[in-house]
Parts: sequence; C-alpha cells; structure tokens
Amino acid sequence: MSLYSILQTLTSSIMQASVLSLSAFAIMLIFKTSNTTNFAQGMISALGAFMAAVFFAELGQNLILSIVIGIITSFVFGLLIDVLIIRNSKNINAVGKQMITMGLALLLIGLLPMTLQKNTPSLAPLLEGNVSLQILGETIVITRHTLITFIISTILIVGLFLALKFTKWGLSVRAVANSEKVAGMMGINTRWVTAFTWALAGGLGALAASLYGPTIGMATNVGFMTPIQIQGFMAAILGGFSMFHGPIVGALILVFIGNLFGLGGETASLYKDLIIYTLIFLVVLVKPLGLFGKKVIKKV
Amino acid sequence: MKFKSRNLYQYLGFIALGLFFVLIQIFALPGIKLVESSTARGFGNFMIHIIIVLGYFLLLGYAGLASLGTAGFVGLGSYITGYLLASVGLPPVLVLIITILVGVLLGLGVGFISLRIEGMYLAIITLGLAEILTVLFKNATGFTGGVSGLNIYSTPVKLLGFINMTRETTYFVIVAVMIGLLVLTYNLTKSPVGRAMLSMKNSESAAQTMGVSSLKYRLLAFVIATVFAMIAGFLYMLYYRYSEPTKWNLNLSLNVLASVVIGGTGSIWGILLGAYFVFSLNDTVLVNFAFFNENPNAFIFLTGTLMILVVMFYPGGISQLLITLRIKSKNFIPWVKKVEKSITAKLAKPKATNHDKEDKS
Repeated sequence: MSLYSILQTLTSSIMQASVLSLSAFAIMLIFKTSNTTNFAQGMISALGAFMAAVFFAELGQNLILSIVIGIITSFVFGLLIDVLIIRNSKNINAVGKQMITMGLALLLIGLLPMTLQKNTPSLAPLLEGNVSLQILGETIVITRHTLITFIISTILIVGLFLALKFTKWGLSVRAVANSEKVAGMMGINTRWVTAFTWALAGGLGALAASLYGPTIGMATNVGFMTPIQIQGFMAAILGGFSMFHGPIVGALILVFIGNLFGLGGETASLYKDLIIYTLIFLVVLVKPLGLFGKKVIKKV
Repeated sequence: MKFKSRNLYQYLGFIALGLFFVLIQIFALPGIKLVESSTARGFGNFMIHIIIVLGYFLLLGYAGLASLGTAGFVGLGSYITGYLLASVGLPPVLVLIITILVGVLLGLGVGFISLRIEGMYLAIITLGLAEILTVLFKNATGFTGGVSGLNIYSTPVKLLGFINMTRETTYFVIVAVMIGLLVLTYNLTKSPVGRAMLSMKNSESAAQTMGVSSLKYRLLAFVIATVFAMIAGFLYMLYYRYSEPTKWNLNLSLNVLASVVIGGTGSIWGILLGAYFVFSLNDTVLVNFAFFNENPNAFIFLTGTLMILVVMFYPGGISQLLITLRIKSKNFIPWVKKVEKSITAKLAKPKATNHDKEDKS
C-alpha cells in the first residue's frame, strides 16, 4: 500500500465526503429543531436537482442559474413541508413524524418520474477537465468539478457553523434545539426558526444533489440521493445527534475510513460498506448516543 | 383459547377469503380460463405481501417499533431458499425450517440491538442492516448470484416428495400458509401477548410498571416480524423461482410500512384492506385507467399522500373506518343487529354474548 494509493483514495473520496457532509448537516438541522429524522431528505434533494436539470437540459438555461433555481425549488418545498405538515403535527410522537417523512419520500418517488424526470434530464459538471495537485511529492489528478464541490461545501459548512455560533439566527436555532417551549417563552419566533431550517435543509440538499448528480448519472435513477441519505443517517448515529458537529465528523469518518478499507484488495473494496456499517453498529451498541453523544435524562 | 362467537365470525371470514383466493386460481387453470392467469399471478404476489404485512403489523401496530429492514429480511429468505434448494438440494420442508431458524436468530439479534437504542434510531439501524444485506446480495456471488440475480428455474421442487411445485400448486400452498398465519396473527392480537405489546406501544414505562417485560415482548415482536418476512421470502422464491438485489430495496420496506399505517391497528381486516390498497389495487383496478397505466409511479404518489393524511388526521386508518361503520350501521339499520343476534344464538352458547359486549366496550 503505497503513499500514492492512499492519497489517490483520499482524493477520490472528496466528492462523496463533500456531498455527504452537506446532507448530514441538513439531516441534523431538522433533527435539532423538529425532533425527527427526515427520511425524505434524499428525495427533496433530488427534486431540486431534477428541477435544475429540466431548466438546464430542456429549457437551455445557464448551468449556474439552473442550479440556483433548483436550490430555490427545494428551499420552498422544505418551507411548505413545515408550514403545511410539520407545524400541524405538533402532538404526533417522534415515530409518527418519521412516518410522515417516509410518506413524503414515497410521494416524491411517485411524483418525480411523472413530472420532472420524465424526459430523463441531466446536469453537467460545473467545470470540465482535470487538475494535477502536488501533495507530499506525489502527483494526484482530480477533476475540477470535484475540487470546486469540495471548496463550495467547505465554505458553506464552515460558514453555517460560524453562523450557528455567532449570529442571532444561530442562537435561536440552538435555543429551539435545546427546548422549543422555553425558546418560545423567551420571545423567539420558533415557528419561523423551524420553517427556515426545513427550507435550509432542502436548499443544502438540492445543492449537494446538483453537484453529485452529474458524476453518477442521475438521469435514469430517481433515487440517486437515497444512498447518500442512508449514509447520512449512519454518519449521524455514529457521531451522535446531540452535538451539532457530530454528524459531520461521523460523515468524514464514514467516508475516509470506509474507503481506506477499500485499499485492502478487491474483496475488501466490495464489502467496505458492510465493514463500516458493522463497525458503526458495534460503536452504537457500546455508545448508544454516538461518539459525541450526551445523555438526556428522560422524565416519565 | 376459548371459542368465542366473535372469533367464529372472524374464522368464517378468513375461510371465505381463502376460498376466494383458491377459486381465483381454479378459474385461471388452463382448462377453465374464466380468469386471466396474470390476474391469478397478481393475487399470488399479493398474498406473499400480505404475509410480510402481517408480521410487520405486530411489530409496528402492536409493539410500536418502526423497522425499515423488512425488505432485506424477505430478500435473505428468498436467497437462502434458492441456495439450499438448487445448490445443496435439500427438500423444501427442511429448507423452510432452516429459513425460519435463521429468521428467529436474526430477529433476536435485531431485537437485542433495539433494546440498546431509542425508538427513533431504530428505523435508521434497521435501514443500515438492510443495506448490509443488500451489499451481501450484490457481492456474495457464490451464494446469491450477484447483481444478475439467482434463479432456480431448472431445479424441480417436490413438496413432501411427491407434489410437484408448479406455479399453480405453489399458489395453493401460499393460500394455506397465508390463512394459517392470518389466524395465528389474529389469535396473537387477542391474546395476553398482543395486549402486552399494545400496552408497550402506548407507554413503555407504564407497561413495565405493570409488569410487562419489555425485553421479552420486543424480542418476540421482532422474531415474529422477521420470521414472517423470511417465510414470505421462501414462498417468493418457490413462486417466482427468481430473486435479484434490486427487488429488495427501501421502497418495499416503505410500502409495507405504509400498508400498516393506512390499514390501522384496530382490526385485522383493516390491515388486509391496507395491504390490498398498497400492493394490489393498482394491478387489479387502477391499471384499467389510461392515466395509471401510463404512469406506474402515480400510485406510489397516492400511497405517500394517503399515508401522510392518515398519520396527521385519521390515525386509526381503515380499521377505524370499519369499526365506525360497524357501529353506525348497527344504530341506523335495525336488521343488522337482528341478523347478528340470530347467528350468534345459533352458533354459540348464550354465555358468549357477554364476551361480545365486553369486546365492544
């Protein structure tokens, strides 16, 4: 196992890591404010990506403009989900809310092939071509698209963490995450905070899907974001939902360690998902709240 | 278990349902041809799904545990069956026993994991488990045939050594197994086990205070759900003689969940109607409409929408609707009550009417 192959594996994981971090962040935001795991995250992301693809491939618009339209679509869709559904299901328990999101996933799985995906539109990479990087004396080649995806998602995630820490919006999100009732008593508009996190999660998902779609042939596969969503969940339970950075760290561990397992030969690379998921199960059995979990005492 | 008059109606209903399914296949036999053979095949597929839904009904509707691993378990059952029949050459009865044993072990394993984690994470963990199984289905080529799937078209399968399992005979076996499991599920829901599970669903802490062992009933619920799913996989392999990884995806698990949510938990007929809505309505009725024929996915959209509406506004589902209709019809149509009374008097001892009243209240 040479240094070159390790570096090559790490760089080839960058795409997956960037997209997964964005998705994990979206899943975690919704978990924090609405106390549910959003099983429709992957499909809401795909909705935005297909909207962008329709504008790009069928209406011949500029790529950036199409992606922005896609992001706005998912943003508005997320907002609508909160305003129409989640807001009206306050007294449904957590598992019931999960089922609502599963219903949403089914709804979109049925809707997209009839409408936006009908003519199998696809998006193009942001930039064509490759770049060579000199790392530790080795020359590594990655596509420009991967590099720009990495830059965009890093800026976004760092920016969002700074916003959570230092802005008024971030403070209100953290307050709602802690206790929605108390936050409401302190004069925070909890409805707006929750609605905005759903919208933001939709927008982030759509961006991730628009960047990820062109690299894996999104046109014929309506559920192309579902594997990412499942990995996002696994990352979130690995890192634990109780801290904001838990899911992101979990995502990075899942991608990079998983792909390093892949270096162990052909069999290992086929079974790397199996190995990493089994490891996550073992971690969860030992630490049920994840690596960074904090125990919340439950009153009956 | 005591034989109550109320149960008698239900058993008569189950027998009628079984007869209906049997008649469909008999009418579809080559000599008679009153029904298209594709219709009969659709009902065979539907009954396999009923078995999955029944197991899941106990897990979600009674024990309140939302799992998304169902599709993986059904797939595993089908692959084990295919492998043991074709490559090892075991007789089907032995294969069924092995499949059930694997189901019990797997159910115990998942149940133990579920004890360590809270309700909401359970769906994620079981989803991860299904992913692990999918990786196995795709890559363990010697066992599963890989991405192209596993078929046993050329293997003759003889039940008990003399019944040749063609598609038609397998259909009758499926009817028998389905009705058997239906009766078993019904009895379980009306037994102390079912009531204990129901109490756990509403509040686990309260149930434990009343002496309901959370460990025992969680494990039991998972074992039942997994075994039912594995039996469904066994029957699927015998019926279609083919299994491929893409069949056992998240959509199937979501649809099974949707049929239990839409069916509600109040009555077993509600569950059957829920399963019919999700798995068979499109193939039997809606496909005649041009719109649904052109857009096979339109139906998934309807399922999703209905599922959201049921969770939000009508948590009882179809069962609740059936119970409401039953009570309403009794009040408004006097002869329903009369007929029911006369049947009760004929079928059972007078004492049974007391039970009847208790059940309704």
